Amino acid sequence: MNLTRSLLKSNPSRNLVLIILILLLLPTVSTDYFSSLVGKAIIFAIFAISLDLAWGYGGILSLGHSVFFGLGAYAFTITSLNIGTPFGIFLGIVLGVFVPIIIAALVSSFVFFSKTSPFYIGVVTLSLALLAEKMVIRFSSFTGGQNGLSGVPEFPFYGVPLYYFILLIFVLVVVVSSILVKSDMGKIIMGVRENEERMQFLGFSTPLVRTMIFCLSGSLAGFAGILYASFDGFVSPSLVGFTLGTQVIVWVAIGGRGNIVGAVIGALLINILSPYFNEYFPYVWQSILGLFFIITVVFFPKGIYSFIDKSRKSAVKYDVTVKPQEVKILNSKSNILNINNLGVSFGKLSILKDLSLKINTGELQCIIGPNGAGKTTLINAITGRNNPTNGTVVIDSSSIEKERPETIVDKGIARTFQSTNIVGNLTVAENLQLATANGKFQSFYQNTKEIHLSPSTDKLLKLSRLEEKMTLLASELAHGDQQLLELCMAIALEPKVLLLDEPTAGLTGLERKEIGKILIHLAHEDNISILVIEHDIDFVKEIADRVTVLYDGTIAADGTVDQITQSDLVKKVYLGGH
Amino acid sequence: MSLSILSVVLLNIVTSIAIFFVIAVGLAVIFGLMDVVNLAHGEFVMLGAYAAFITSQLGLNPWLSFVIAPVIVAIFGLFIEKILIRHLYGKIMESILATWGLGIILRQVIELIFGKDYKIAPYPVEQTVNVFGAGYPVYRLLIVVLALVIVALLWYLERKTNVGVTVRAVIQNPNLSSALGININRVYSISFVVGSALAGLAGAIIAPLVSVHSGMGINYVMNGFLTVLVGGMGSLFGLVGSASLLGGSESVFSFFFDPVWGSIAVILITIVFMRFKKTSI
Amino acid sequence: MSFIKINSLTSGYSNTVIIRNIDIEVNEGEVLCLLGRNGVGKTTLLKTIMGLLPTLDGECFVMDRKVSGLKPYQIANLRVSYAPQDMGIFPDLSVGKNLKVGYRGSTSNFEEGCEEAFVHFPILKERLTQRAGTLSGGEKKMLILSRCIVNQPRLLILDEITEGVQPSIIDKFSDALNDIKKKGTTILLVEQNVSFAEKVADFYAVMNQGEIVAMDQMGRGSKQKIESYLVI
Repeated sequence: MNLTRSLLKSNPSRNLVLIILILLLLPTVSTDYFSSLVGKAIIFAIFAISLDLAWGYGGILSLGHSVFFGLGAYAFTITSLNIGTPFGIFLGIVLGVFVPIIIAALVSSFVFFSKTSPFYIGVVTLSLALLAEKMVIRFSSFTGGQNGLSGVPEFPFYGVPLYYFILLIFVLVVVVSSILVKSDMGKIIMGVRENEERMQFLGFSTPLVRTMIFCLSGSLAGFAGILYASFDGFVSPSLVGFTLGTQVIVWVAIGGRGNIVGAVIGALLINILSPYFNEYFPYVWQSILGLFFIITVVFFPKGIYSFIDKSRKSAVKYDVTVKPQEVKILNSKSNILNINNLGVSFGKLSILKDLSLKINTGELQCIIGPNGAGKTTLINAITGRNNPTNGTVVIDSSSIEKERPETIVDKGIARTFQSTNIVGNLTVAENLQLATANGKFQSFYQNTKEIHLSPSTDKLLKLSRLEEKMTLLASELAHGDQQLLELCMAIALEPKVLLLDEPTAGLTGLERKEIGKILIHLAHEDNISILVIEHDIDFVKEIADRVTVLYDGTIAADGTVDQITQSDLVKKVYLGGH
Repeated sequence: MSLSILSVVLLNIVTSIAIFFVIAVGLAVIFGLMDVVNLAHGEFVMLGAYAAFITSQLGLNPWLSFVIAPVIVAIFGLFIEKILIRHLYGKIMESILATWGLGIILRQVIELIFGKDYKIAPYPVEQTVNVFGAGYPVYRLLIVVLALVIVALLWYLERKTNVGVTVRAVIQNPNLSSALGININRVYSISFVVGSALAGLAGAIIAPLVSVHSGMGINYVMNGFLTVLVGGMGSLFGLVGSASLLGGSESVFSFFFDPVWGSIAVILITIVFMRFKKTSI
Repeated sequence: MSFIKINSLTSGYSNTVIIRNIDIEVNEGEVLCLLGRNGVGKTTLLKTIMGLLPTLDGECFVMDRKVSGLKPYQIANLRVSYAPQDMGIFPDLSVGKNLKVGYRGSTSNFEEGCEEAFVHFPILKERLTQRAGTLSGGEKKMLILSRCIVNQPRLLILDEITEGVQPSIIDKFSDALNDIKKKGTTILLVEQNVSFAEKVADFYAVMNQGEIVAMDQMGRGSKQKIESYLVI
């Protein structure tokens, strides 16, 4: 009773300490059979953590994660059996970790670098598991085929029972992976899971981030496989097969994905209970697990651990420091971005036709035009969201029309989206921290509580009062604040050119005025070139240095606010008169 | 290579393509229309195969299994649509996981009822025809005919009837279709039922060729998923094309090397194809 | 009781409020035209009435029936026809099949309806078997309006039906609308083209920043008044 109460009260790390203590004391009171059962469950918990890293944290649904587990087990077993010395065991461990990494990297290079959906990733990983099982059976001279391989050597830790060694490894894995998911890199991984597009336009190579976490996860799964082979002394095709791949998903989903403790609890609980229930209620138990899995997936995506762990994500304070103001050489009104004969078509439909446009340093330029004129398509073409069909886009004398979004961000072009695009389940501070990383991989172990902002971002942060909401989750912000946060993130990238797609949509008049002031300041004081798509003509009049009218994929007019508002052509286009 | 071997190989390629197609088509109907991935499709095929087995156990004419299996699986599909799939429209990740769980349950329940042993479903026709001196089972040719009938029927439905107009409208623009008075949820549930019936039919078709058991689905349906991935959605002839590419390669590699190389070829072709395909799902 | 009654309607996309506290009443057989500059919420209002966007607050009645909360197809089945501004056709279906989508009357009625539409837009008859995606912008708009005519609606909702239509053909659209109006059909339309609105509408309402800022009977001098709101 006391135990359950403290379990219910406590936070994740306390729960873990409790679990580890129980596991540590277990062999002294239990039978050998039960200890060996728990030993396997601990190994499977490590396996579950590996899947949780890929799926729960990385958003990569690997339906055939058993491939990595099994490959680790087989690579270790085959090497150590064939060489047979402690060196063989050592080499086996190395191969058992690296073979899965190689496979994971290969899969990643094909799967993450094209447009992907969870369906594609799931089907490919699942088919790999089915294939691996067939291959193990087919190439029986290496693998022992159906019969498997026995006599797998134990790790040479004479004197220390393997159970304790495994427990030690488990503790290490839990600690290391907990540090990783809380680290600066962990935030990037979660950012990619939540909002791949935003992360791309913050300059991160999201395929690379996914490849990294998938390889890491694969190697950990392989390592769990090594432990399993060594502990059980026997490997068989079922270790690579699809059944185990299914089971590990069930453990993680029921326990709680996206949570190390959840995955551990799911794996331990189900693996320790299953042998008993399987004996007394053979098929019913598995069916109930399946049913429980469906219910969890549909109604409680965070698993059973979300019922135990009531601790809210505590509001972490971040310190904001401001970079010294850079002294910029102002050669006013020089071209920064040149767009020449830009064309974008989808199939036969051409959206932009031979569009040429120059963007000047420190100028605030507004683009207006009716729906479907190609305004958003223009920004998409500049930023690499849709590569243009023809024409060139040149910034600072380098062509970017064929580059990926993250490269274009790196060249100094930042953007916002029409519908706000932020990482909802991270705090405001964490969102800003992601932006200041400038697309670079961050520390895998440090959890930095400091954000180093450019002076203009800091100014905007104060003006927008977001400074007072740093510890809130971005998804909890009001719509206007989310727009402002996205703007802050774009500015934190310290761009030379800032492209804003309807930054005032859905804002009240007062908020519009505030944003207007900020934009003028950014352009005129901080010398950033700003291109704003805007519907609200009053707002345009207030802020624009130059107005461009886009109509039917081409530029209908370009000039100062006065020139534009007096042009008959523009009146016609804009009012729809004919 | 003698003429008889060559013709048998060619016929094997054609029947292999037909099998790839009949397994994939139900999946493609559901995925193309609803954006719901039925990962339990293999288990639906398995149910169809068991229906064929039961048909023969009851002493009924084996031909009847081609009616009984689709009907039973369609009714089952209707039930599943009502209690589960309905909550998953448009949620691709959840649909994958939930139908994955459904597959687990179906395998367990079938094993509980019918046991672990492999069942045999009889051939409706046992004759062989003489192909340049080699005997070739008529049933395998029949599969090709059935596949062609399914293609023709679906093509007719899609192109020539009001049902086809409705379905194509919903695929192209669900919102507009709804605003024009089409109850899209009903279209979805009907298409799930049709997809289930096609899975049941596929099960009845392959049942005599294989040993029927609870775990049979996943192996066959894997090829179905890959076929749908390569063929893209909403295109009948795209599906026929990808079934030809993958089914053809599988049987060629299986013939010259062995079935494992056949499976390897199918997966590698899919991955490479998807990597360089312009638009993908 | 009015044919359409909208009470303090508020709506938008997820958590973005686009239109606030809209009140509108239209009697049976009347034509109301909504005007306003780009992005003021006209399309949002029509989509909300059609059930394509969630009503955040307030309510909307059509023929004394509360339609807020109904699905789009349920509203359409009250004999409401809707012509969206963007993506109003099925590009991969033929012109003939585009007319048929959602139609649920008899074949002879359908053919009658088609003939009625072809009186105004004979070009469509020539292109019956052509893929709708290959039509020009103006022809697409004709197709959309024809589909509404075929369905013989009691309420017609049009979102910028004249957008991209050549001036020389625009009169055909107003003729067609006036024919529909003669049958007693109530029409709610969004327009940018003020002269077109003047020809077909009985009443007008001007929207700005999500709210209705002016509403009056269409008549002499209305055009100047409306344009004073629209001018940039």
